[in-house]
Amino acid sequence: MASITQSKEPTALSSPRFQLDVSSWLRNTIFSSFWHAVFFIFLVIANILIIRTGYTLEPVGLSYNLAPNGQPTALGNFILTITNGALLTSIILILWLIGAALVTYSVATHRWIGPSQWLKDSLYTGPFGALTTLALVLLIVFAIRGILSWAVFGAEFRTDPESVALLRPITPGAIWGVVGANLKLFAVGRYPSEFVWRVWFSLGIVLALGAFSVFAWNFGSPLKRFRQILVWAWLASIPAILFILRGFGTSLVQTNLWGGLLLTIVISVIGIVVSFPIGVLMALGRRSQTRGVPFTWAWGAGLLLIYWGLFGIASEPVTLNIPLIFRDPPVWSVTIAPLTYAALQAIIVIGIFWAIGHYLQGNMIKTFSIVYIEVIRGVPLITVLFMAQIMLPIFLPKEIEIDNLLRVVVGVILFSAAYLAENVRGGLQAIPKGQYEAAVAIGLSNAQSTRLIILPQALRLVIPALVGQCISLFKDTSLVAIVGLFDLLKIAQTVVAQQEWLGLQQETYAFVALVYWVFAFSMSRASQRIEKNLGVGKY
Amino acid sequence: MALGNDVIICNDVHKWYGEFHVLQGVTTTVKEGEVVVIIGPSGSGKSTWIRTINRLEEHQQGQIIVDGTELNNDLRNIQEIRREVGMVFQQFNLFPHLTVLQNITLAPIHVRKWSRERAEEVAMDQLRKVKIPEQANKYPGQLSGGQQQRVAIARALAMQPKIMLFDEPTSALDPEMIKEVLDVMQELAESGMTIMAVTHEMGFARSVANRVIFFDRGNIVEEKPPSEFFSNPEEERTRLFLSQILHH
Repeated sequence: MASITQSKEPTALSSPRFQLDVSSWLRNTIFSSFWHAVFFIFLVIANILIIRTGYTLEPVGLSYNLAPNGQPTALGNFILTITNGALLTSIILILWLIGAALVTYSVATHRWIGPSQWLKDSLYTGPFGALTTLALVLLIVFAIRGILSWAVFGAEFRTDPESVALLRPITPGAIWGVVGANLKLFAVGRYPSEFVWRVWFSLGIVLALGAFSVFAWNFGSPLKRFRQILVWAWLASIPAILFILRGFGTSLVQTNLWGGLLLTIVISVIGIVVSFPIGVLMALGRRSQTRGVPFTWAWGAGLLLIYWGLFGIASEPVTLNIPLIFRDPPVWSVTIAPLTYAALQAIIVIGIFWAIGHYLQGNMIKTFSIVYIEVIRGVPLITVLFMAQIMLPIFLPKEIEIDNLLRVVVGVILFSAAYLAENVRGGLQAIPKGQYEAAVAIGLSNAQSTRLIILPQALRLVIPALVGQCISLFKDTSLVAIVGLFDLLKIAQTVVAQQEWLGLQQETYAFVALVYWVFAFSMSRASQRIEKNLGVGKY
Repeated sequence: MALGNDVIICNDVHKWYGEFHVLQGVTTTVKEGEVVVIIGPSGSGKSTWIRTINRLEEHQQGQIIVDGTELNNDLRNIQEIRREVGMVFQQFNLFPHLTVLQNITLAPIHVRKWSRERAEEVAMDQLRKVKIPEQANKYPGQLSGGQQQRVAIARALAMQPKIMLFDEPTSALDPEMIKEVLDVMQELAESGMTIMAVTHEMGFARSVANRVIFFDRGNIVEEKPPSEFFSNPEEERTRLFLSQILHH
């Protein structure tokens, strides 16, 4: 009985008297959880920093908006006024207070005027929400103001070095001349100017194919045949464009002159396109159930090695015909007949594979795939590039000089294929066993069921992962700078070292970042479209 | 009905999964035009057995001869047999990325090397037989379970096989859809097709089968025409199984 009476007594909370209890208010709002508190403190600090930076940038819009007589133009004046830091802060505060007042009024009177419902639901969800709104709006407005005043209003767009040199000390923002004056360098590197038309021509091919594709893929089934032709045309366009870019005879443009965005695109496109089939084969190989070495392969490999051992690669002196593993000790080269080397070599190479394969139930294809994938995935791309650069020439006779770019591209392909293989394998594993069984039960061969049933479903599943890989490969091409190629990023480094534009890193790297972003984001959007198109009518 | 030659001969078929002896010397023959229904408790190996007949499972000892060709490791033999033996699965296993029509025409075009027109003609015939020609251009995911299973039957029939294997074709279906699939199977049986079916549908076994095989612990326990099998089972295990499934 006593307990019931007690529970009916009015508690402090239900008391109508208004109490301002700061500590409980803070506990319920900003400090309601650890991460709320951290977030809020972060917002406050970020605001202080960015608004302070904003003030130091004033006055914005100075140089760009000067009239010929040295006075600010009307536009310049207007920009100066509205971007004034104190004024901006005041405007935001007043607007925020009006919103707060509106919401408070609506909550108190239950009269919802204009946007007050929306304001309460989205911007003023409570004391914490309201404060967060204020902090974030300040942050965003001042960040935009900072970026605009640096990149646009306070920036200098002239590209002739003489006038820029004079204007640099009084320009508060970016000096875009460094980009404008070096556009050709960013686009194609040191590609000879008289042959730049070839790049334009190649771009024309790509654009024409692109236009045809947009047409073909937006008009249903009657164009199926046309689409098939287009796919082949796209594939054929790659060697064609490479040929056009390189030229021949007197108009040859060595690949060491290719650079900038052109080089970045060449490396990533070849890397992606060539590594794709290799990756798919590796993924299938890793799951292969084939036991033992296919008879013909073993014989083929043996004969090839014997031939290599006997005759080497043409034009080499006989004593140097011996493959690398037998060059030491050199006494071998004069004491044992080439035929013996060849036999020994074949035994050793086949033996090594056989021994490894033995541990995987004699599945050679699987062994090779696993060893390849795990070795490549175990090393960084830079290592692979160095290997391609330094090791590849050792394996080949001196006369054969492999183009630097080709070596790098081979490295990128090998690297990318290993990752692709694992992505594709993920898709293969997601396909139920019943699909394969149904395919072979109606009489399809192994190869047919893989090509017609398993791969189309598996690849569709891993499109996001594949595009992710394309994007990262595109960005990873910036590493080729290390082995002496002048890709987009390396070009940026050379540009900021130019006498006229010395030290303009912010502008240059911001531009390069923007270019990378545009490409990566386009790929991401394209992948979403492909997924959407392929998903139609499925499941 | 007059029955023809032996088209499936199993002679002392053994199979092990590691230590587990799944098939323990299965021996029987199936004649052309015969409808054989296999029943038995789950885990008895009846599905494994039916899957050895088109080599979805390898047998490790004994002999399986289908349509005069012995099943061994020779890939050409296996593919030849798979062309002549159609199979219908419990989970339908339709290809979700292809339309119904593409599902059915795929094997005729790529294995039998028919022209697309001919394959589509045959496919539509089969779809009419299973009574869903109007679904030809839909994707499997848009069909009900019963419709999907009928498409799977049409897909197997489009290869014009001599033998049809059914591996629990109605077990994954909602009750109201079982009948539409069983009707199709019954019509198929009446058309003279050789059928081996693992199923729990006793009504189907009773009315359609020429012979019922009771399968348990990796071997055939008893095989008889359905009238005798259900009214007068000899073996104790058969009686126990029948009492378990018929009285509840």
